[in-house]
Amino acid sequence: MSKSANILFDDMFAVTSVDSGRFERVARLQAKSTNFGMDLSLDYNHEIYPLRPSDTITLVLASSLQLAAATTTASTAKPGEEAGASASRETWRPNMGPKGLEEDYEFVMYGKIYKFDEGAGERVTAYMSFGGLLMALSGSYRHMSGIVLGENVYLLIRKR
Amino acid sequence: MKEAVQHTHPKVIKQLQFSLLSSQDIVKLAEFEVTHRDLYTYPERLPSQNGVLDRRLGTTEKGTFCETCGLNAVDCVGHFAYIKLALPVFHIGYFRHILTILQCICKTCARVMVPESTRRTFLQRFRRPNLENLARQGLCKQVLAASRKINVCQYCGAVNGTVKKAAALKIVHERFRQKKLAADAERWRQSFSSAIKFQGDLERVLGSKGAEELNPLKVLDLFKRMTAEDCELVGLKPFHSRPEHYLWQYIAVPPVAIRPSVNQDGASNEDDLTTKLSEIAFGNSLIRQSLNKGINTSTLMEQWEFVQYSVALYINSEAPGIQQMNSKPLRGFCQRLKGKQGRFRGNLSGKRVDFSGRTVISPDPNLRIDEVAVPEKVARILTYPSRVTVHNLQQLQKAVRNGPDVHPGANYVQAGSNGFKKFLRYGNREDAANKLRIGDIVERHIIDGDVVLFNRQPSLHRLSIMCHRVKVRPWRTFRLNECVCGPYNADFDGDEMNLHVPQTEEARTEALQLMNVQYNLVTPKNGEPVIAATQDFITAAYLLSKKDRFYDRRQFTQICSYMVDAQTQVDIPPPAILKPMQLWTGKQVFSVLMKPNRTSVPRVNLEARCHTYHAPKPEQFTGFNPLPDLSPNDGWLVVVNSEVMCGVMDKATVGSGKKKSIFGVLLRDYGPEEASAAMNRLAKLCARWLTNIGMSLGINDVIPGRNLRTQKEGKVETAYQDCQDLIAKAKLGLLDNKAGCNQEQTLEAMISDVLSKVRGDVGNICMQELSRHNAPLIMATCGSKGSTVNVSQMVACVGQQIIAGHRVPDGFQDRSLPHFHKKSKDPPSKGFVRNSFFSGLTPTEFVFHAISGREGLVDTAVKTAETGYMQRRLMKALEDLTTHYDFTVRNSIGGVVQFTYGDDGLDPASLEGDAQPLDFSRSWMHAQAISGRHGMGLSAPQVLEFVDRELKASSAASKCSTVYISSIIAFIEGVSERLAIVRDRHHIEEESPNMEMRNNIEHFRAVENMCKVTQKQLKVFLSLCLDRYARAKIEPGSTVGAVGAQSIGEPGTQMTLKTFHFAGVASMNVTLGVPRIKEIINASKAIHTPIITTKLVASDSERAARIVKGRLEKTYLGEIASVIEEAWGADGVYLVIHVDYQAIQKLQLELTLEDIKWAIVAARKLKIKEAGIPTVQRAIINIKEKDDSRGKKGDKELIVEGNGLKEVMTTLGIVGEHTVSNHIIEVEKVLGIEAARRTIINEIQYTMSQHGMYIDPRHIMLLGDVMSYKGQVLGITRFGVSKMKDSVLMLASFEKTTDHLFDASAFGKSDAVLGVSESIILGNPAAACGTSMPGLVSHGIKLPPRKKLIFESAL
Repeated sequence: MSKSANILFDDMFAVTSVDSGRFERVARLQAKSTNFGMDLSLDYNHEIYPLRPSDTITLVLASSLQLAAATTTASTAKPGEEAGASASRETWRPNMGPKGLEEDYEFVMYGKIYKFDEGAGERVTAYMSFGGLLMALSGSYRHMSGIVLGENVYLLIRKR
Repeated sequence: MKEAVQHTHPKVIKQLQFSLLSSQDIVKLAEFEVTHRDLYTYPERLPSQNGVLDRRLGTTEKGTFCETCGLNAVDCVGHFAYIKLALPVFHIGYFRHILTILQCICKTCARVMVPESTRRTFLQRFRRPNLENLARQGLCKQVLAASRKINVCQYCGAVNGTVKKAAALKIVHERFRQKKLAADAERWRQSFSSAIKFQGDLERVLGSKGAEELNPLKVLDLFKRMTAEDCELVGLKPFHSRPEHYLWQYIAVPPVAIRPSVNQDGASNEDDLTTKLSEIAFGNSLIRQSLNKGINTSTLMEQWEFVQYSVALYINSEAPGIQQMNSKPLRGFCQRLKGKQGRFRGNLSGKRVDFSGRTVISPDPNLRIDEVAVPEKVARILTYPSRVTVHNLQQLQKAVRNGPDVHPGANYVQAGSNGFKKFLRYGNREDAANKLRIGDIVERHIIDGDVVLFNRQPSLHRLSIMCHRVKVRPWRTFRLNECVCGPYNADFDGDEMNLHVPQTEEARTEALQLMNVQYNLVTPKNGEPVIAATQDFITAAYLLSKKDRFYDRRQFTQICSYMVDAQTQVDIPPPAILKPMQLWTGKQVFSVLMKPNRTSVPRVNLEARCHTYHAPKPEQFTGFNPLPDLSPNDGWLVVVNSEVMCGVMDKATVGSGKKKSIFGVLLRDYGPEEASAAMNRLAKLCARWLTNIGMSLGINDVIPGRNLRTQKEGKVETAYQDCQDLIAKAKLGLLDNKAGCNQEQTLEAMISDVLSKVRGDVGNICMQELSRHNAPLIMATCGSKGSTVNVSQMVACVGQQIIAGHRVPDGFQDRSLPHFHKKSKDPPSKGFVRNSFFSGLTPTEFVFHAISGREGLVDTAVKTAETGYMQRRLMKALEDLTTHYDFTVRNSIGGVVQFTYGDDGLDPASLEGDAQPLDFSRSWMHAQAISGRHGMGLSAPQVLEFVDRELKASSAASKCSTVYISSIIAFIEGVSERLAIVRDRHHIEEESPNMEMRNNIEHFRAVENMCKVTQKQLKVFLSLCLDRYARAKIEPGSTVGAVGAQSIGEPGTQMTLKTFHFAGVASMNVTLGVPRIKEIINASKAIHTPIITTKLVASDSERAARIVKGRLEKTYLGEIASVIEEAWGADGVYLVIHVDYQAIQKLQLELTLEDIKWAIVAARKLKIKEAGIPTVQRAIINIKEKDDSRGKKGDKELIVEGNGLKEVMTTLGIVGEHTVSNHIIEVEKVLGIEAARRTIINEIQYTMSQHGMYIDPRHIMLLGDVMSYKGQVLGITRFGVSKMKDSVLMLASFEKTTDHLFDASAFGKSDAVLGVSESIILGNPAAACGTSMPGLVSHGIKLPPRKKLIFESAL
């Protein structure tokens, strides 16, 4: 399913609507996945990364930006430590370490999975916050087994 | 200088005994007898010998000396003299008591006329030890009643009649008033027959009743003859007070020191007492002369009366009936004691203090919240006596060298060895500094870090005076952090505040521990935070936390540096956006604010609604139902481990008044230090950030756009048209009447609905149409200032003006203003203002707006006075209630008011949930978040078993109430239930240790995500629960009474103009607001709107409801008669009444012709009622709006206006158990004291909730208990309070000062000085409360056995 063990989720979405009326630099898009029948609601900075309805995007959730899956994955991190934080604490600083996963994507955010909500049938919804920019990913729990509550994640987007 | 605070009190006043001053005492006390009326000699103008200003009384002039003790005006304490009255006079203060005693005793032999049989029992009851005031008064009344019945004295056989007051100071005994004594009266009149023969006038004078004036001489004689036992029978303690002392034979002339003469260029101005005394002396000398010379009786009596009146005025110049007209009011003794400025309230209960300052306040966000900036000028005057130790020697030496004029200086040095005090302005300071020894005391200037108390009047609650740390700063104002404005209710429009410097280490420590700002972040009223971000801080926090704030690294670090003053390590979080560029969001600033670095502890977990919350619309999301987090305006705050997930910071989340706010949560979970540190960071951050952003309001902000304008005009026009239609319909009577309303009222209600809807609609359009950057809009949305109504009033439409709950009334004939047509009811003529403040008001609109504005002003002015008095009364009634070590609430004399404070012994200030120590769901979330998600997930039964085991094992759990433990278990059961459901759905076996089965991994992961409970989480949660309960327990010694009184009184001052509302149905007014609270706590007998709410047996049937309504309401003859006609016939005139059976049927009345007949026969004056309960005004059928204990939504219920609870309850068709009245006294009468208590509690809570105020039920319960613990409902009024309390001083300092004092000495009462008021008056620490409550218990000292006296055996 994935190229690397760091990648928790990977799918293509077709943007159905973009609401940019509420805030100045932030818009909320609704999108439907092409493969897994997932639904997505995402806040993003549309000033620096404009998207239009009808755009198709590749959306990836990753636990780390490192290409090699050498480091510990979040789910097996030591208890007590804020998982993920230790692994990638300083990676955002400029000129730190080799280039990673972000090279292939246009828009990258870092945030946290903070909530899970049950839906009808097999559907579950995962809520993530990237510094206040919310993402709600809804779909069958079978496709979301990589997503673990309380973990930090990278969101990587690229237009098709 | 006087020692400010003494460290050792050699003596403490334990008791005050009131008694009467006997003549002997007066003479013993005095130096000489005053015989002269003259004040000064002529021409020397010296105080005349034996006058009332004699030098032997002391002196008030400088340079003269007292002739008794030889000291000067300052040192002489003053001496007494006396006037010997030639004839005794009544003491006006005891006149009432004299009268009562005279009514009890035989006017011949002076025995109390109680029959011998009851005499014993009365005596026994009077002699009961610790007889309460209330009981003694009751006994006195009984004795009076018993002896009044008796006409013939059983001891001497003399006839006694009634004694009554004839004039102001005249008592008359009408011996033969009773009819049955006619024979005696005749005999008595016969005895004068021979005298009448010689002097005919006598018969006229004699009268028929045998009236005899009891002049002071006669009364004195009677009283002197009363035996000690008889004195006891009238309630006196003969040792302390004998009735003959109620009359004055000698007058003590007080020292001149209390009545100083004021010399003004040659002429002297004498005190009222002095002039009155000289008048008395003069009158007295006249009488003496007359007695010596012999003079006719009438002149003598006149002179006697003159002295009598002078003495009365000397004591009480406002005594009823004897005020002299057309002269300036005198100031007698009573006037000196009475009132707000009087001795009691002005000088004894409240005193002037040293070491205090007052000046204007101004804001400073750079101060910590517990700091106050004190101007250097002030700091040089206020001092703290610091004892020299090895550690502070150098610092104090420097202070001494600096002296009083340079700031960190000192004003005085006191040697530790001999107590000699030296002023440092003069003399050699260098020398003084060098000679400073350890143990000396230096009165140094206050410096940074000193402890002071800061206060703003009106001090309505305990948070009005708090302890701050000093920060000495230049300029002239006191400065404080804006966050602390809340509890003081301060703003900076010229407010002044007071500062006090505690002078001992004990005082400092107490201030720091109890009154510190940090420990008063929440109000004891309900546990909500009061110290929190305000106004601009909220605006800044809101703008900064909005979703579209992005900062690059430079900006973000700059902002982070605003908040910490380079004193804290800040760990920059990873940026939210990494690519295309690194950007941080504004919300991340708040994550830093809550938890600046890795080592800082606070992990805030919170989920709360923001000030403005728009729910996400499900139709905009496909595939799932959105949680509130996805609110389109970002109006739902979620914080996980101090990281802001979503939501904005606004009034609800960083402001005051919400328990579920950032600071509220920080305080509860991590203590006041962390909360206040975060608040300090916020204050600095917001102030500095907003300064750079800029926030201003200009004319552009209130100019409506074209769209808004047209929409508004359209709305207003349609509303006007609607109103016109309604008016037209009403004219034809076509409107459907609302329940209990007539056509006119219905019209008014409907028009009001239409018009208020317009303003609401226009306001909403405003909110949508105005720009995002519109300053008023920003402030209204984040709640920092103003509301949407204010914004729309400025921009769009001012709206309907309301006066006294209605549209503007007619000020002219049939119209509000002459600009309109008569009887016009359309919106503009009744005060609807369609213009905005921007567009400008038309003249008529302006007038309407002014009328409404004036009403508001008048209301506030009236209310402040009213609530102030209410607060004072509440305080006086509840001041001495404290919790004790057994968690009972007792008053100062040890009487139990509650067996456990608030039924559970918890402190309202430390409660987090809804009157519960903990908000379980939030704490569970918190526990889950802080303890992480690692470890094995438990199954539902495992969870329950674990919790059960832990609770059983824990010692802390055993200290919790069972109710609390079961509520914990109930919550955990809820959690485990959900766990079971989720696990079940994903087919995870209950007890499978190897849950990570390969084929099941997705299920397993999903369950883990959805719902995972680990042992650690449970452990943390339970420890939170138990810990919080232990902390929430009220401390013994807490002054729960005072806090309760403040918690009820303080919100009263904030109640807005809302005196009425409609109880379910229009036109049924219920009194609300301050008037209603007043009614409740006064325990008024007649309340404004008595309402009984009932449940119907058949609650779904309209017909049944009508039948019951018919049974309750009275029916007038007119209502059931179709025709009433006069019939004039040859043989008589009569009325013909045609009874309308159809009407009776329609009204569902159970009336027969017979009933009507009898009603007519029984009625007087032809005001005919047919049936129903006479005290019921009307009954209205109401349809319930929501479920409650009395039924479901949609049920019919009867609301009855009027009294008669008992009758309503017992009416057929009404469920008696579910009948509720809002009339406390009636409930007490019908259902008893417990029901009355419950009613008090419910009614206060209801009234408060109507004004959007929530007070912890414990406070109200306490008030309810105080009002009912004596077994009858006592109002918080002077009558009620005097029945609750026994302390003379406390009552005297409350109301009717002199009455209580005269009573106390007349009956020889004593005051044990146990309560708060008394202790303050006498300068004792209040014994039974707060920190002075703990006592040292020691085993009694073993005394050697008593030696036998040598001659004991001989006795």
